[in-house]
Amino acid sequence: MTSKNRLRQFFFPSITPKFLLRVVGVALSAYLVFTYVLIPIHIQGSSMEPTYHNGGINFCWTLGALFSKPPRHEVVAVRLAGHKVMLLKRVVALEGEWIEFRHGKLFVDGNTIEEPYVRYPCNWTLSPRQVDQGSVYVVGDNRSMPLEDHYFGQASIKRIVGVPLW
Amino acid sequence: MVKTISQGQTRSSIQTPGQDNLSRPTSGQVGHRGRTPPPSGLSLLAAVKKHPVIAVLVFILGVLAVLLLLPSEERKVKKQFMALSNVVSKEPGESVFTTARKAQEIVPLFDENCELIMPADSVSAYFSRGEITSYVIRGRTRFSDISLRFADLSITFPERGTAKVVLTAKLNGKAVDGDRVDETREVKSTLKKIKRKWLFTGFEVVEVLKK
Repeated sequence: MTSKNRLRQFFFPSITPKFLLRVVGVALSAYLVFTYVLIPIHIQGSSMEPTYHNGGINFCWTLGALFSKPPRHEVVAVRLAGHKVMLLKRVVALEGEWIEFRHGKLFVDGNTIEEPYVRYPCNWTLSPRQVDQGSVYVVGDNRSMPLEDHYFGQASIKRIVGVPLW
Repeated sequence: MVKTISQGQTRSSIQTPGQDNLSRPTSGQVGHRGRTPPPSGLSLLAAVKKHPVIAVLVFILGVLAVLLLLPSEERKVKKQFMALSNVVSKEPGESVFTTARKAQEIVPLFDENCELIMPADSVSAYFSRGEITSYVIRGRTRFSDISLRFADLSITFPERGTAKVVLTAKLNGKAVDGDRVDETREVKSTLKKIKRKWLFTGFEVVEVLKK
């Protein structure tokens, strides 16, 4: 087969049962991968600035959270009622730990935790509270707004869907 | 040369002198035109047997059309949420007439009393239709533009005439003083079918992140 014929066959393939089977296979694989393994996400909001920007595109890698509990500082996607809208937050404390904010500084079990990803000034003060078993404490990276305006707190590990791919 | 063909046989391709090879019936020949057409039911069956793939596709399309076009209870419940989203949402420069029309459209969406539970704010109370309408109107006037959208609706019917919906609600907007609002919450909603209409009877904001 000449290269011209090959090119024509590539862009205008013959509609054979084999070809149709391949199309169905590719479509099914794409559906399964992008629905359950690599969920495309469109970031809305500024609670994770400057790490993730409003309007950014990413993928939620679900296998990253399937076999192990998320470690501290990991960014995770938290499920609400479903997978179409999720929260993107960072894990700052693990189950059983005591978390506290003093004038913008994070303390876990009384120890200061360095947070190089927090770039904007923060003056939060939050009294110590213990993270429940089976939960992690998640907070956004953008803490420039008042504490009451930022949606953060402890979330059940079962609600963690995955981690951003990059 | 003349050949007589009886019913059921194909027309002969034998030519008579002076004629071309087109299969035109000549005198003495009996072609397809002489046959009586089979009953329409049988011809449909024959067509189905001849083109089973097309028949199956047509059947599937027919079933899909029925499923999509016939209004189900689930679709009616979703429609109520779309209506709620529409009456709460506001675009910049909304006219007074649109505001007044939307205010009127709020009332028929709710039951006489609607329960609102917000554990994070220690709110658990019943509100009348009038109170809900006034809160919504007041809320809308505080914003130059606001958008309320619902996603991931999961609808169940635990008993006849009652619908329980778990969904994600997204409220985005810009207040008149310039502040931006961007709230996303998981909400549990209850609706009851009253006089053939699904009306909201309760909302509970689920505390996904406990401070």
